Amino acid sequence: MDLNQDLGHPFVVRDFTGPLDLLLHLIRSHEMDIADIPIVPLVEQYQKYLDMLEELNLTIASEYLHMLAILLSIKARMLLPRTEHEIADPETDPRRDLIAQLLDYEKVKAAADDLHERFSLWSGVLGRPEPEGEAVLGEVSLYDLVDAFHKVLKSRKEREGPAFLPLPRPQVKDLMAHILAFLPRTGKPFPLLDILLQLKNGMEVITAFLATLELCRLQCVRLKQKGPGAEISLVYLKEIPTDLTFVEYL
Amino acid sequence: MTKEELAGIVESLLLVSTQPLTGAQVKSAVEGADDALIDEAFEELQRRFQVHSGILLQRAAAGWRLVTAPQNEPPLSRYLKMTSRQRLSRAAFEVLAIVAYHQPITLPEISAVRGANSANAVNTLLEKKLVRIVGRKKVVGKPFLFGTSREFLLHFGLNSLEDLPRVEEMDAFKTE
Repeated sequence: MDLNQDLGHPFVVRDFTGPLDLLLHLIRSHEMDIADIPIVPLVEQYQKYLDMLEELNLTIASEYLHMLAILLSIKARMLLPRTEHEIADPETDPRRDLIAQLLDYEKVKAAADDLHERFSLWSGVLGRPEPEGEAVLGEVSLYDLVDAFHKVLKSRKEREGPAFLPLPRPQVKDLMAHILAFLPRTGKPFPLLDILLQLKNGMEVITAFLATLELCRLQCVRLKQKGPGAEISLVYLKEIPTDLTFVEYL
Repeated sequence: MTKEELAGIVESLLLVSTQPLTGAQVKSAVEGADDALIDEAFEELQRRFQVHSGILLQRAAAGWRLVTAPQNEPPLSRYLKMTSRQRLSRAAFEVLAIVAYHQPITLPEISAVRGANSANAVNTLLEKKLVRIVGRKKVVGKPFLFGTSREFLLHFGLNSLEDLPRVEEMDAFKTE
């Protein structure tokens, strides 16, 4: 067949998983012999495909360009005159590595298809659920932390009596020391709520929120939680560095 | 003890076990049951469940477990309010195939076979717990070595890795 003819829209834009996938598609769809790849038309088709991607404003992943470079270098080496002895020796064929890689990749694709089939067959099957069991202490998201403080602020609002006197503005620095003083040095988790409920007013709770964030940032404490919505605990890691300069937020 | 009696006991064990039940576990739980009888009991049960419509006895991850019949997935997922079924990209299946057949293997080795960067696919598989880190290769940079997990066997209905269909060995992994 004439590979140089203009096929109009010779390519289907589909999701290739990589340059090897694309090459295999080109080789198959143009009925080329994989063991004896006609390198010139293959490079041409490959380049055409990349050009088309560019026209469609799609980003071309670097590995496609890497493969283009490999193809061009093979093409260049194929143009060099070779002795009869060299032609007879398959070891010196410039296409050798690429062909081996393509054949390997073909096996991967076949195995992947097979797994896909198994997956569609078995992934809809359900076994007995694993027990909840001992929850592992997991990571705490910022939203969990905000939630915890929100809860406290709400409960504080209900308890707060009429306050008239201007209160001394709590300092993040002081609250940090205050929070850290609660934590057992053994590294045993201490419930955050127990600290917060002892605070005097909403201002202190807000400052404690900032202080907790600051302690996390300085890696003086770690936050732990048994699961979504569960109690948040603090774990002591180290003392506050003494050489810190504090920026007061409030 | 007859095969039928043991099959009854095994059925009860299966009902309460949340992990695949192994022959060894049956043996330690049932006095006087030998390996041959246990195998027969499992096979007897499997036959019984075959006539059932809703439950299957599946051989998976070196044990046996009760699972729902595949054809009942749609009503089950509605009942359990499950979001759409797990999906994997073609790239992920390729990576999984490479890991399954050539574990332990490093990310650069996987990428070399595929001719494409495979970091994203590996991360997805790690997240879905189909692939796990099994160690580090003792070469420069100590890259992680990846292997398949027990969840992989369960999700793909495999008893062991030996159940994977044989494939021709890849050139890149042929031992000299």
